Amino acid sequence: MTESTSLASVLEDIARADSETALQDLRLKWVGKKGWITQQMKELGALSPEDRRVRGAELNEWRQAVLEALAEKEAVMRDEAERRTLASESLDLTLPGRRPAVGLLHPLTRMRRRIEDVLVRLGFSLAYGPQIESEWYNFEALNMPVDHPARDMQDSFFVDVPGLVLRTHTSPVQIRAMQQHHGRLPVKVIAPGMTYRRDDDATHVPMFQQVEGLVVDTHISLADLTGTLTAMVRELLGPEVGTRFRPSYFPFTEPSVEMDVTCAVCQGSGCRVCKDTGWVEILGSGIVHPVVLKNGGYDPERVSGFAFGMGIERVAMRIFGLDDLRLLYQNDLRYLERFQSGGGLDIQ
Amino acid sequence: MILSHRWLGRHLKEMPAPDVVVQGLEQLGLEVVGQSLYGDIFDTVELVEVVSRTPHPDADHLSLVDVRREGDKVTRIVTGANNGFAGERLWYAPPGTTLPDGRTLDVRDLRGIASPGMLLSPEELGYAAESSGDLWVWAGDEPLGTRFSAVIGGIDTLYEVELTPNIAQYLQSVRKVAEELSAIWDIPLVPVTEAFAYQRASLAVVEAEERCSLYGVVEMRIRPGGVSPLWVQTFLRAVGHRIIHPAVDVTNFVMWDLGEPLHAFDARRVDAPIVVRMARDGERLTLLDGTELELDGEDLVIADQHKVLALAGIMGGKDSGVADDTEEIVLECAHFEAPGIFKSYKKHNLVTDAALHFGKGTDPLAVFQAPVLAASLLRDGRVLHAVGGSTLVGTVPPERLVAYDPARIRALMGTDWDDRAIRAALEKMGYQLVGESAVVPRHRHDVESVYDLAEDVGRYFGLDSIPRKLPVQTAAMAERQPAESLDEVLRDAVAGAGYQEVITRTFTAPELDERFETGLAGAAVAVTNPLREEERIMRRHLLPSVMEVVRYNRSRHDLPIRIFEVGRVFGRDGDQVREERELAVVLSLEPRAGYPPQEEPSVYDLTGLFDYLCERLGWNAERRPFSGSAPPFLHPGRSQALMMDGREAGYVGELRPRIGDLYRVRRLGVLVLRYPSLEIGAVSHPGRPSRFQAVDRDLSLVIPEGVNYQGIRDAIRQLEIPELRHTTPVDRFEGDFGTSLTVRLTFQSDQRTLTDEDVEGAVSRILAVLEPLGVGLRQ
Repeated sequence: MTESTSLASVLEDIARADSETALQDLRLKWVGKKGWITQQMKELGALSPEDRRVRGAELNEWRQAVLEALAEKEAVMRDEAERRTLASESLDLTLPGRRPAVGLLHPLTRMRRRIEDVLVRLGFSLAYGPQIESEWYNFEALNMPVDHPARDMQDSFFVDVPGLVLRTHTSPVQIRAMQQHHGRLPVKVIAPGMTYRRDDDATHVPMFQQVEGLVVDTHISLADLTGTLTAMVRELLGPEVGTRFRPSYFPFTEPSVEMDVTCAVCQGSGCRVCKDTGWVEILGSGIVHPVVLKNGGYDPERVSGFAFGMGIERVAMRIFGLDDLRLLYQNDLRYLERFQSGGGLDIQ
Repeated sequence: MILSHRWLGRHLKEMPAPDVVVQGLEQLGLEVVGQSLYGDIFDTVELVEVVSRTPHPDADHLSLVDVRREGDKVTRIVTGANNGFAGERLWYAPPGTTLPDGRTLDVRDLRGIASPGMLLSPEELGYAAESSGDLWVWAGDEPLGTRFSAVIGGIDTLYEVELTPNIAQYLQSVRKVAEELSAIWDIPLVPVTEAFAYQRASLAVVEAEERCSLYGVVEMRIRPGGVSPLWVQTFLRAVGHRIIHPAVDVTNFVMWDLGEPLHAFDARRVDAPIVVRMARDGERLTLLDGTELELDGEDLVIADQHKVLALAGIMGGKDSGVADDTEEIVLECAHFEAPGIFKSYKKHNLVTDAALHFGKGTDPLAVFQAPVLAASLLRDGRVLHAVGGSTLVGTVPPERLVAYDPARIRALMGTDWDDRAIRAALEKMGYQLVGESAVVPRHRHDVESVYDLAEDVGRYFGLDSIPRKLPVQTAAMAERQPAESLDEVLRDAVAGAGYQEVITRTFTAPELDERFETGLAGAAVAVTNPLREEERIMRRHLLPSVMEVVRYNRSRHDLPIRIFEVGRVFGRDGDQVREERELAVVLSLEPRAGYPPQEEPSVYDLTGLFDYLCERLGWNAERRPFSGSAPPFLHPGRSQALMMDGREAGYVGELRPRIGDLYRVRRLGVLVLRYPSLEIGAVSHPGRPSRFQAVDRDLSLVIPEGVNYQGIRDAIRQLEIPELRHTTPVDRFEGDFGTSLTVRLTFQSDQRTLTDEDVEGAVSRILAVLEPLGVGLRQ
């Protein structure tokens, strides 16, 4: 050190340096190529061996102390600079996040898939048929000849192509599926699809979706029907749901039965929704009529079958708690967005 | 059909409580869709006696009537009626009473005098009475204060039941329902009266035997001015009938009681004998309700020697019906063949109660019971003077047999009912079992085979007695249909890319459909009986329906539109109808205010979506300029044709702003693709990633007008440089030199690290192939 400067004051200068430049100046002044300590070390050669040893040790000690002080100060300054930078970069994370653009499937698509999933797990294959169907498949083949009183049950839409009709149910796929099986057993199919009837109110829309089911084999009975449908409905609506079967009528099944489930609103105690009965109808079904088996190419003396048809909208109304079917086809985007939650319900 | 609890009770020796009745009806297949009361509104209507009657001081047409009520209380009521004199007993409705016509009474001020409630006429109660004035002067000796509900037999419970078509064939009658309830409850029936003994008078001839197997007529002399007994009126009112004329009331009563519609002709209007025959083409008939009908050879009519009297089984003619002064009626009791009546009432759109009975099927044996019941009712009302001549033409249709096989019944139902139980059940339900056959009750037109027997045994025991089990079958793999699975993958892919699925009606209007004409769709299939004008045809493409969703939403709220539909479209070649699969995506191209900022949607989102879908589904498809000009609804500078397997299959691009304006969004991007129903062709075969370094080179190219990126990319691809792994545009801008496009080329080899010479060599070849296009490096 010069006579007038002590190591302590140099170290203090370093500690007090308030900028990168000031620190750099101090580095150059003392330990740079032309710094005072560097210069002094270059001059050691001129000293006697004894003086050189003493002076050298002293200079090394000083140099070490200065370098350490510089490094320490640099680290402090770097941390400070980083702190300032990061502080300047802070974001207001209470703002809404940028959500991924993910679209939703229509609630009825999700409901259809859920029903398909349950039935496929029960061993049903998927089958399909056209929406514009021949009157033969839609009516005659299903034991509804022209002028059959049952044609009153379904008010049909007709088209300007002779012999064709917008199918009033998915039941024509029963015939198509049997024909495609060419007499092989078992036939075990479900047929989801669009169907049409001339109805329009809160619980009926002119275009709606059904899932048809058909099992044909040797020894199929009404007990198999009630068992299968009970298993399906419990899987869809929960194991606690109550079920019952009532005689009904469909031209293509004999006997025909309708299945009721306990009302979701009152849990069976009776309310406005279930007209105080505690039950709501969920589907129609029955033992396949022998005429239908014959039209599908099967011998009713040798085989028997059961069939069912269920409105997908009806199941959706129950699961989502809806009271107006028309909203599902209005495609109001604000309404459809509300089906955001519960994606996990689509497939159990 | 409305079933009255009390009416059912007329046929059963005991009558359980209403909730048991509901259960019983449902066990039989009669769905009870509603339950209500009849007569409860008459619970406040009370019998009073007139004390005095004085004129209203301020109104000539009004009188002040003081009536004595139960407990000697006197109430003054203002009335405009012309009767109600001292000593007469009347029906009085105090304030708060609701009348059958819906009026609720209160205290009214009539010319300065308060009048609480009303004194009632029979009409106001919904009844008919032999009364000589406005008010119903009651002849009975019940004590004052007796309620009107009490004199009509008490409050009744009504069950509204839904009739399925098969039930309508045999259970449209109180008696038949009671018979089945009697079977399942094991409660005895009240026996029916003896059969009517028809005489052999020549009153009728049946020409159309195949349409009318039995035709009976009975002459009856009646007293004009009479009314039906109060209890008959009550039952008819309860099930919704108006009280018309005792002869007509009787036909209505018998129709519901026995399921046999009768018709009463005024004997003066019938020029006997009656002829049951087919109508002659063009023959005319004016019905009871005034409707003019033109008949044809398919219609069965009841005629006399000169004219048509009635459309058989459906409705009588205006000119032959009974009138107030009728003194003799000709009562028709017939059995018509159901299909003929069904066809006729459908054709003429005449849905009458009679048509709904005869058109579905009636019990031929009721022809013998009906006249006895009718006569007894008329007698009960002191209307009948005498039964005159009668005749019955035809024969009772033979009984039918079906095979009786208890094992088959057990197998169909999946139960272990033994033979004895099955036999007992069927006998209770009205069958006679003879060997291996069951004799079908005559009214059971629905029964065709052992399947129906199985159903009846099930109805007898109740479906709750059927066990529930899963079928035991040979295991088989459940299969999906590849084409439909593709639809599902497509839906997932587009939804996953951020679009909301919509499901629209497949009907549309031709004018909306034509707006998006591309020539891809065939001719339209028209709906011949649409519910609405805008639903006259089956859609030929998806976009019109999806655009209606845009319109619906944008006219209600300012939401960004990101929607799609995967659905069927319809077309025809002559009488050949085609259903094809289509995808339509619609995206509103508008910046949305918001923080943090969102990227502005553009047509590139849709072209990118298409490229992504092709990769995902393995479609051999690409985007190309339109071979001719773009369809008129598309922006010509911002649209492309979509090609699949070399054929035009759709389009992607921006709608012309003036089209968007029609849907309240100025700029809309659309993607429409008609895709074949193929299996998903894409299978990934990922090679091992190269372990050698990849090298990027950015070329800033100046491109002349008329050259696009595809041209550059195709030219580069044509060189087939194996090490060139990717070509990606990274920047584009317009300067005074023209348009500059920076393209990043990524080179990589699987065998070695590429040298500078390798890369430079390739870049030179690329620049050389671009030169003829007028494309060069920006200096």
